[in-house]
Amino acid sequence: MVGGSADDLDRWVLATAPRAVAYARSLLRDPHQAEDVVQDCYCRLLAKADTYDLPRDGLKLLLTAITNASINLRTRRKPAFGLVRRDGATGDYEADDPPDPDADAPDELAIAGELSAAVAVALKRLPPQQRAAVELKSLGHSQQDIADILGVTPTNAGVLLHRGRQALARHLAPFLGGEDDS
Amino acid sequence: MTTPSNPDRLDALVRAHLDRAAAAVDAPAMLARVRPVSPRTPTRRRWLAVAGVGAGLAVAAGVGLFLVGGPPVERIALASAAEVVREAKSVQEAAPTDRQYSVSAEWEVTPFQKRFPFRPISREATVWTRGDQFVVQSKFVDGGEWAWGQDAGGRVWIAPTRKRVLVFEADELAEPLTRFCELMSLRLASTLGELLEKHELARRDGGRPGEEIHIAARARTPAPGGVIRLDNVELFLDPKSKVVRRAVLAKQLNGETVGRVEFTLAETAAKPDEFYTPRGHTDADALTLDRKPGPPPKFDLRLRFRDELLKRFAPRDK
Repeated sequence: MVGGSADDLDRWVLATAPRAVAYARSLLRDPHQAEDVVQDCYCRLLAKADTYDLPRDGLKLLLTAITNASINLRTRRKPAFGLVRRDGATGDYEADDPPDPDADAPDELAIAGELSAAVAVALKRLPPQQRAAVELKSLGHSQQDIADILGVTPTNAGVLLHRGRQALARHLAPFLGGEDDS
Repeated sequence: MTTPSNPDRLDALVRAHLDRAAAAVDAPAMLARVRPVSPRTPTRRRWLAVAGVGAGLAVAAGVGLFLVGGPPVERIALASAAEVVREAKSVQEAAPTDRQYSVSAEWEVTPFQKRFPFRPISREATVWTRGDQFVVQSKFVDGGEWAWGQDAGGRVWIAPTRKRVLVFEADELAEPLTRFCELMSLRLASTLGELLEKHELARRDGGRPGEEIHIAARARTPAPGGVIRLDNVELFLDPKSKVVRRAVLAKQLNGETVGRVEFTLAETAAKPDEFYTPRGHTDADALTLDRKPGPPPKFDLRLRFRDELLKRFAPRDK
């Protein structure tokens, strides 16, 4: 067996589940749906444990599956025939995938006064692909990994990351002592 | 574009946020949800869990039959992705069928797309396909309907109203319009053939009884310049009939993705041959603007419009 013993796989699930569920929740904004997606992705990968070395390579496969499933779900939740356009440089949705309308306004962010809450809200305001790129980078993934996981070119992954960071910096400027780059 | 002044600080903040979210996750609970599918573990309990109480008697009966009479899931010999695609292609070729797909499209802003004179798909678009023929039916923002398509002879026609239709012969189609047709069409038999020939194929489904077959395809090599090519493709097929229920096609041109079009099967029906021609979408007294035989008339404003449109389709930066 390529993927190791059942105990190895159990340990792999235990080690990766927190990161995977947190990532899916961030992309989907629905904790129950996120857990269902993660469960489904685990099931698909575990069914192929004879093919993959999951303890070694599984996290990237898992994040890729979660990303695809989450973005597909978000797409399906929208009107069936919406005309969508994407930013050519980043692949970001323009009309189809706007920032979360529930996210607080910047002044409310400032009122919140707590950096951790501000980061959460600022991330919510990012389009999902930018959010995914920023989060994956923060978890230590390379630009090539991010490109593979998001299914874009490395150049596009770099642009997504850059724009995501720019937007974050803008949203968090009140907390970062004038680090707004805009 | 400016650079965020302290990306490391931002990364650290995001990482801390994710760490907090991860700390709240119940990993053992997730393990309990997925453990039964471990390869050496019997899958029956998982099936019972998946089916659940609310799955309904019909589903429960089917699953129960499988549990009693069938082998464990891990012992079922799954057809390979290539075998499934080959079978799906045979189904398509054996009996060209009229199928309606709803369409959702995302377009990249490429030089190709920028110079295309109109949006390829508007709201509430559907595509009917039969072999290499297709008809796209859309609505204008004001509610009016229009259609365009390609008939069995390769002619492309555009009917903005039921009273007027533009027809372009196959030999006068300019490069952008030809590529646009390639981009929009869902020629399943040739698409499946291209996947078999030029793509790495993998099954993404678990092969469980009744489960939709999911095939992921990735192009082995970049497409040659100037050719619209399928890039990454996701196919979802009926497990019994191998009919493509949903297809997500990322198409590339000159190495860059130009669009991602998702087709979802909505209906199968028998359409008359005429449906794939302008006659199926215009009134009997409709004005047809097509290539007139013989020398062109000295001046005809309506034909001038057609010519101007054709010029707009013409390549500008070859």
